[in-house]
This record gives sequence, structure tokens and C-alpha cells, in this order.
Amino acid sequence: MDTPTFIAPSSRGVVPHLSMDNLRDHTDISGAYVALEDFVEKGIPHSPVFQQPGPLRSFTSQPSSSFMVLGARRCPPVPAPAINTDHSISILTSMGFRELEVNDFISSTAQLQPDVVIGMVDIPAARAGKNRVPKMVDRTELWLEALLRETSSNGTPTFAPILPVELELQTLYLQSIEDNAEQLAGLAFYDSMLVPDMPAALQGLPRLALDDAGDPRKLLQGVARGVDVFTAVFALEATDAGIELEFEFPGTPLEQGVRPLGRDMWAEREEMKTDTRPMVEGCSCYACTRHHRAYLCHLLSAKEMTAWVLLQIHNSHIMERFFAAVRESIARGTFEEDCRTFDRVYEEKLPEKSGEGPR
Amino acid sequence: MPSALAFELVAKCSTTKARASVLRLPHGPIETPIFMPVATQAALKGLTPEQLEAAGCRLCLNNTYHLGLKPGQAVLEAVGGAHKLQGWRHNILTDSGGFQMVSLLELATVTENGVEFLSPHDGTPMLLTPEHSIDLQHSIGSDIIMQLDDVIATTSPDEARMRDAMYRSIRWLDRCIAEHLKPHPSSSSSPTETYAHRQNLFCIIQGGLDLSLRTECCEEMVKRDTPGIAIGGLSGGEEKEKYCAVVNHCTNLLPEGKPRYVMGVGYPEDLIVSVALGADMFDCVWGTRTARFGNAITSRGVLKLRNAQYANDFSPVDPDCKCPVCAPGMGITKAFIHHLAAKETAGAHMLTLHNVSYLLNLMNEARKAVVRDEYPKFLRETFGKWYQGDKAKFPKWAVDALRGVGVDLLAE
Ligand SMILES: [Zn+2]
Ligand SMILES: [Zn+2]
Repeated sequence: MDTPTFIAPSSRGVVPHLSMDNLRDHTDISGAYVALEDFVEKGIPHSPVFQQPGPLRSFTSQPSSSFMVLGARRCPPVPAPAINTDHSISILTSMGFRELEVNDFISSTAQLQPDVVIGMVDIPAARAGKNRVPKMVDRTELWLEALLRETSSNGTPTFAPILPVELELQTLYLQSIEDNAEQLAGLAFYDSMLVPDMPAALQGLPRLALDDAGDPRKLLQGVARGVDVFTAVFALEATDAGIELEFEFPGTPLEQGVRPLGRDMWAEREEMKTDTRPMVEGCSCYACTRHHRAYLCHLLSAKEMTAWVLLQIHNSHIMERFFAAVRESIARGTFEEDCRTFDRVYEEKLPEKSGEGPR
Repeated sequence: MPSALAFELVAKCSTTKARASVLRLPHGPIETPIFMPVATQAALKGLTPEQLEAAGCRLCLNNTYHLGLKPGQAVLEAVGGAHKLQGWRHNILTDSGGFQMVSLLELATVTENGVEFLSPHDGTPMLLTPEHSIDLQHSIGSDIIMQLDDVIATTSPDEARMRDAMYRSIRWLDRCIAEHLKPHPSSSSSPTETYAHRQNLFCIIQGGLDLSLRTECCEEMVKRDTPGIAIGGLSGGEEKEKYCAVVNHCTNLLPEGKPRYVMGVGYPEDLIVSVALGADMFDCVWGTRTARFGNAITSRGVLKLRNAQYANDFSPVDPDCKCPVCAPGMGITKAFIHHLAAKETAGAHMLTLHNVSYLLNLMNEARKAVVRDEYPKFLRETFGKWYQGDKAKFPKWAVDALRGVGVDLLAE
């Protein structure tokens, strides 16, 4: 997998709105983040994913080329009401909240065989107070050590989670990660601001950002900080809100003014209802080459689900192109300069969400 | 009257009344018997037009009532019709809008002038006349357009109303034809070119379950010489025996050289029995609607994939199906669809794609059987698979209807 890149936060194993044939035919997404909580409503080992002979990849019929990252909770997780314990966390399944035993999570990796598993974290639903933080760090450390004992024998590449608390508060934990560095395949950041502050011994490991960048500028800042793989939740949220993304890297300056990062099709569906230009002129995605704004506007007005399918195809394409251009820019050695160009060319923020989403 | 189609019979079953044809329409040829998926608002529930095309669909439906509301006639005119709106290179059939109005709007009333209703936007009184329906379908630009008819539920006990509706449908057909024979605005090169040279108007036989009314309606409408003929007013919950009697009766009276479309019919059993009774074209929303409830239409019958029994079933949705969902390379299982059903729209999209593919393919297989002159064998094999060989479970109405056209479904 070429980095920097993004993987799609999946829902129940699918990229939202995309049937497997559309995912295959119209996107080139490098991989998916998959949450165990999406698969264990009947517990472990009774849930269907454990009843089939193959790994998680075959249960969700993911192509073998797709990079599959497994974590315990969704990205981002829905806050769970119950408190985590020394040996379990509170999760949300399709049948409600329940407990996920740390040992069950660990043992499941042998069968699920993801390309990467992220160590389980103890992050409480409410903001952790002064006394809670040391407990978070201790548990996460113990859980990672237990996971590594399992994955070092079953061969699942393992990423150590980095907690979203100040670095000084997890010094001991980082120390233990350093001690285990040889067994680790990478680091997963719940707060990617911490990336540059990693100890030297961990600098060689790939870095996955699980926090949402929120917009492309922050993605670029993340790249500059050294993030290799993003989860980029904002792109999916844009789709749900009826927003088409339209940024490129580094972008072509306008003679006057700045370019928008995206367009709220939902809000502009009246103005564009007879506009037969592609959603984004020059875009080579399926939605833009075969359909036009008028159709998108009609589908959104009529609340036809195909609207969100087309938006997802387009938005994924924009993200794929963006990261491809970032990689080229780094290879050319012009990344910093290109980031300054991007800053000048584009508006500060994505449009505010006004759409209601497909559901 | 002029038409924009050519109907070529390719084969006739030597036992039943089943036929196979090539119907050449403005956006390319189609083969009958045919199932037409319903893309109500210019999209088929979560599928892209390209997916529908890849499934083999070459003629789909749009609903005039819905397109008239959204995006509206002005937008349709501005973008150049429904094909351009949805990026669909193949054929489109539209209904008249009348049936949807009467069934969706409680306050719709039928007068001689047309269907009166209150606008769902602002409640103002509006009127859909035969002329307006045709005008709207001209703006849509569909390859096959339907007359406005007066549809009464076949289960209605009011015989006088049924009779009135039949006669009114004939009078409305005349008004639709007059509207359809107006010169096409862009016909400057040949001043005599009318809409009828570009789009095909189908009449709709009415008359409820009363065969003598149906006879009269067939005779009157056949005289009007529309390019195709629909049998309407069915699929409203009437007994299947009576449904079959009406279809069988009408096809006996209709000219051989025109396509016959039974409106609103789409259960797999109804399709292959109706083909045996001489019908060529069908549409139904059931296949797509039932997909959204997690039900798969398969060669082994309808499977309710939300049921617990499928949670651990790691076989394909239908091993005999060649759609992208069932294709072996995809590796999608019943268990995965169960996992997604009613929780992720992508799950519904995949089941919709499968169900539409199944119904399209069912009609393709029926057609091949007619061409081979093996339609009775096809009927026995298909029913046998649906009911896992248990003939006691075959529906009596289907057995009786097929016996009427010379097929004993229960024979070895
Ligand atoms: Zn595009
Ligand atoms: Zn299939």
C-alpha cells in the first residue's frame, strides 16, 4: 500500500452506500477499518463471523487487495453508557450495548486474520478526569501486552494504540511499547497531534490516524506531522450530508478569489436542477462521467438512495486522487510548497452540513 | 396510427400460447417475454443506471406521476427528457400517472374530463386530463407511453361503475390519440412528423373481471390500432383464477402482431404462467420492494434472508444466478446479506440487484425455452425447483391455468 493514504471506516464490513460491485468497479480505496463490535451481537464465539471457516475478509467478501484493519470499536465509536472494567469494554452492537471481554477480542484475531489489529484501548465515554487517566494507560498497556502474546504466535500484524492524553501521562506505556517495538507493526493514534512526539525508537513504525482530520487542510497537516494512513471520516460524512468534495492537490489558483473545497448539493438542489454539467467538471469518476448535477439534485430532492451511491463514488475518487497527488508531491520534493499553494487556492472550510442524510 | 416500433414474432410455443419476439424500439431492440424493472423516480432503489444496464435491462419504467412532481415538466423539458436526466441509453416506458394518483391520493376523483386531485405540494385542486398525461409523457420522452385510463379495482362490486370506467377508458384513448398525433415541434424537416413517429402509445384494456366487458373493450381498442396493447386493472388483489381467465380471454382477442403488456404483474409464478397465456411484457415493484425487507427471489423460491436460519448460511444467495451478487468470484453469502439486511443500505442495494437480475433472467430463460419449443418443460422444471419437487405445493390456480393451455404441471 502506497502511503500517505486513507482507508474507509466501514460499517458492518461495507463502505456505506456501496454494494460490493460498485466498490470494485468504481473506487480504488486502499482498505477499510473494520470494528469487531459490528460482528458480535451474538457474542464470541457464537456470532456468525466465527461460524464460517474463513477469515473476516471472506465473511465480508472483501477483495484480497483491500487492506483490512481491525479494531474493537467503530471509527468514531458511539459513546457506550457502561463503564469499562479491567478485563472488558462496553461496546454497541446492532442488538444494543454489551460487554466485550479483552480476552475474547484477543483470541478472535486468530480466526479473523485481519491485515492489522489495533490493540484495545480503555477510553471512557466521558472525558477522563485526573484519576481516570492512569487507569486508562495501565489497562491499555496490559491489554496490548496480552494481545501481543497472542498475535506473536498467530502472526497478525499488530498496531499499538496511542491514547488521546498528554504524552507525559502515558510515558510508562510508551516505554513498554518501545520495549516491544520489535513485535509491533505500527502505531494507531487516537489523537494524531501526538505523532511528532514519539520517541526515536518508535519513529520507524507506520502511523495510522484514527481521529478525524475534518477537512483536507488538516489531512495535509497530518501528512506533514508524519501520519501515513488516515481514516478520513469527514469524507463519508460529506456524502451523507449531500456534499460533493471538489479539491485537488495542490490545486490551480483562480485569478481572483478562492475555490470551494466542496459543494452542498442538498442546499443548492434548486439552483442546479437543470444544470447538465458534471458534478465536478473534469472529474473522471463514474458519477461525473456518466451523470450530471441535475440528476444528482433530482435524486436528492426525491430522496432516492442512488444519490448517496453516486456521491460516495465521487467523494472516494476525490480522496484517492488527493492522496495520489500528495504522494507524487512528496516524491518530487515539493510537498511544503504545494501545501502553501493549496492554502492559497482553497477556502478555509468545507460547506456547513445542511442535508438530512439518506436514512 | 403511426408507430415508432417494429414487432417481430420469433417463435411460438406449439403447446401453450407463449411467444418470443424482438421488439425494436427507439432506444434499441428488446426481446420478449420481458420483465421491466420500475425505476419510479428515475432511479432503481440504490442502483446506478449502469448496474441496471449490466444486469441486462434494456427497458425500464419511470412513473409519470412522480416525475411530474419531481423534477417536474419544466426541468424535464430543460434537460431534454428522462433518458438524459438519468443517463439511460436504453428504452423507457412510462405509465399515464392516473393509476398512481388514484391509488396514492385519497382525494382523487374521476370525472369525464380527467382525474381531479389536490396537489401534494400545496393542496390546490388540480386536474390530470388525457391530454395533459400525454403531454407530460411527451416531455419525458419515453419510448412507450400509456393512455390515461379509468382504473377501478377488479374487486369492486359496482358493476355499473366498472362498465362506465371501461367506456370512459375508450373515450380517453381517443383523446390521448388525438394529443399524440399532434406535430412534433422539431419536425421542421418533415412537417407531418408527429409525436407518434417517435414514441409508442399503448392502449389499456379495462373491464374488470367481466369477460364480456373485456371483449367489448378489446374490440373497440384494437380498432384504434395503437402500436401495443396493455391489459390493465389487474394485480389489484383479485383471485388468481380470475386474473388468469382475463389474461387468457384478452390474448385470444388481441392481434398476434402486437406486443401485449400485463400491467403491475411480477411475482415469478405470475410471470411464467402469464407468458403461457400469451402475454409478453410485465412490470412490478414487488421484486425491488421485497429486497428492502431482506427477501431474495431465487430458483429455490423466495428466501427471507433476515430469518435466523440464514445467519450462518455461507452459500451464495442463488447458486444458479449469474448476477454480481451471486457470482462466485464475489464471495457474497446469504450470511453476509443477513448481517447487512435492514441495517446497511448497501445490503438492500445488493439484494435489489440480485432480485432484478433474477426476474430479468427468468424471462430470458422463458424466452429461450419458447424458441427451443420447450416451454412446457421449462414450466415443470421451474415450478419443480421453486417447490423443491413437492408437487402438492404447486398453487392450484397455476396448475389449472396451465392445464387450460395444454400443460399438465403435475406430469412427470
Ligand atoms: Zn466525480
Ligand atoms: Zn443473483
